[in-house]
Amino acid sequence: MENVLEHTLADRLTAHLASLGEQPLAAQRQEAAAAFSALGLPDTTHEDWKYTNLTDVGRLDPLAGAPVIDLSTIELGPYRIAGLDAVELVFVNGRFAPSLSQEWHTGNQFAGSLQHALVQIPEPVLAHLGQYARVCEEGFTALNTLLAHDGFVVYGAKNERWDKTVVVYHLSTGTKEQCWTNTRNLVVAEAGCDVTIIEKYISLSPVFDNDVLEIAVGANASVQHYKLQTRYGDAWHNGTTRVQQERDSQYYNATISWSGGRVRNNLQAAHAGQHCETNFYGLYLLDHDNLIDNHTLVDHAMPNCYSNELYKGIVGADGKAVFNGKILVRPDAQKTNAYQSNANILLADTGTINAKPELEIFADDVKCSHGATTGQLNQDELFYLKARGIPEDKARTILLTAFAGQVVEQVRIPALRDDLLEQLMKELHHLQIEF
Amino acid sequence: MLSIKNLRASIDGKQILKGINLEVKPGEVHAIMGPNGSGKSTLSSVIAGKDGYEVSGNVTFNGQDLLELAPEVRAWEGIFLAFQYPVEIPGVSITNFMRTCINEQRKYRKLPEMDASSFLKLMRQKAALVELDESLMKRSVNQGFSGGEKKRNEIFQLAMLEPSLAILDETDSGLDIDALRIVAGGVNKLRTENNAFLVITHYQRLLDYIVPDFVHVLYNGQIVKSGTKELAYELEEKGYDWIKAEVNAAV
Ligand SMILES: Nc1ncnc2c1ncn2[C@@H]1O[C@H](COP(=O)(O)OP(=O)(O)OP(=O)(O)O)[C@@H](O)[C@H]1O
Ligand SMILES: [Mg+2]
Repeated sequence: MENVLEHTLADRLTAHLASLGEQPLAAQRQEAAAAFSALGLPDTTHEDWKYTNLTDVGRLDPLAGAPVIDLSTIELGPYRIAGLDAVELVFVNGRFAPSLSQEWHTGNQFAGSLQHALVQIPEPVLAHLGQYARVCEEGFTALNTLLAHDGFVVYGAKNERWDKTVVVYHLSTGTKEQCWTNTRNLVVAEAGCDVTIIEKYISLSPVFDNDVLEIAVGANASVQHYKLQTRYGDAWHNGTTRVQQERDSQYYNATISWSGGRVRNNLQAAHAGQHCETNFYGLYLLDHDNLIDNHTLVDHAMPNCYSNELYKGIVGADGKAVFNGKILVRPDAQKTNAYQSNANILLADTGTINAKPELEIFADDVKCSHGATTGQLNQDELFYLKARGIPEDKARTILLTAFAGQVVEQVRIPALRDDLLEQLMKELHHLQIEF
Repeated sequence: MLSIKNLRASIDGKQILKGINLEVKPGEVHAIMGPNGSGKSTLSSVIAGKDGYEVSGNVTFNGQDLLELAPEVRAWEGIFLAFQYPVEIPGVSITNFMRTCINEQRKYRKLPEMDASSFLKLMRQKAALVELDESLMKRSVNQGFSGGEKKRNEIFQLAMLEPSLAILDETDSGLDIDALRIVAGGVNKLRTENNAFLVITHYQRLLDYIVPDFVHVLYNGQIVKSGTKELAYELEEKGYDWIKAEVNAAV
């Protein structure tokens, strides 16, 4: 994508870099600038972006940023999950909001902003930041690295078990001209550490969030990670999550998206040691010209690892869902067990679903399976319920709740599970009305 | 109670019911027998209100035009179909399912919702009637149930909803002799002067337990012979060929 606009953008990015002066991430940002001028932003000719047209994003000015918001106008109450013992971190347009957050720093645990982490725990941050989400791989990642001002960092030293759940609120609110945010996030769980993180994306007005999160899961460590895009009306989102797992580690992810605008989630986990376990769960509900695109990759590079993936979607009128789930089993990854399943229900003819499971297997002693289904609501099930006296709309809601519920059931935090189930009913009701 | 006149039904241009006439009065048990593919399940589906059929003729239920009503309204009015092949519904527990059914019915009848403890008591009592294991109550509807468990679950639901007209579509198929006795015993306990049963079966055996007032033979979309329970013995002994021969001779 060599064009005049990007040449000028490249110049402006260079100038921006110079204006930052001396800072801890200078070298990475320099590298990112070079990568971005080579890569540009992907368009639909790019295989990975075939179904997700970002031409409109290309017209936004990444340097314009998003406005600085008066924090006193922000009320967290409605977004809180009841009954959860949490450390809360709030970011508004990619900037840390200390007055709304409780930063957490004990000797061996840290939950707070990247800017503070660079000062307080520079060693683990600099050892991991930029190691897994490589700037040379994608233009969006390069831009994020170049421009991100702040983000959240969660760090647990060896054998630290967190009692509290870290809840990160990403609030965003922009204007037509100023709507681009870049948040750069990092989770480091050292050997034997156990931590749970909930990310909640909330959009208050149109924005484009271009976020990167790197997660390093040390040997025998366990990271549970929820990404909730459930109040995300007008937002555009490109979020890249890169997970690196050392031996005997566990990574669990649940990505729940509804009332979304245009959402692209890139979730990738790679195994750097044996006996890793990776679980990916996803649920997406959409209609109304909304788009939700989940691209996932489990990179089995080592023997004796296990991965399991379940993504489900319900698409109403004019909604567009993309699921691309890749399982890569490299030659050394013998005795891999990798399972993937994607199921979709289409509520209206005007909805579309592009589901593409991809298995690339280069080892011979492996157990892998995948399945993708797309269909309407089962008419026999519907008739069974109606014949017992349940009206059509209620019967539909019951069946859809049961379908989606199989993902929500996988949520391991009871308070969150209840909260999501309650919201799910409302969302489904909304989709039904649209239907 | 139920009056069917010249009922015809076709699906995808294929005529399946070809003029059915049947009168069912409160307190009666009617057995319907007939060879595979003769239209027995189609008749039950049409009465219960499954869509997809092109239907003509006249069906009234307690004086109402049944064909005009949505399936859920037919259920509230007192029609119940025990399915030949009960559907598995993953993710919907029997308890929640039954609670919804009961409360929808009560809403229609302008009764308040049933409170949780009375509901559970009712569940327990009705499950005992068909000796349905209580551990099944927490499971999803029919999911992973054995053939016999599915059939018992149908009769359990029947007992919960207390319909005035129950259609049992081959509820006895796939039941072992003990289960058959239990299920039939359950049905007999539910019989009153005010309700009626339409029992579809291939086996006279069931009719030893649920003794019918009438036996009808459905063949090729029509009721070609009606009689008393002796007709069932005759069919058991001789099969359907003689009836087919009679029908074909008449044509
Ligand atoms: N959806 C359909 N499309 C086309 N034909 C159908 C459809 N449903 C049923 N039929 C046909 O209608 C006929 C009657 O079927 P039905 O299930 O009513 O028979 P039945 O008497 O219940 O048989 P059985 O004793 O085997 O249960 C059969 O020939 C069947 O193949
Ligand atoms: Mg049948």
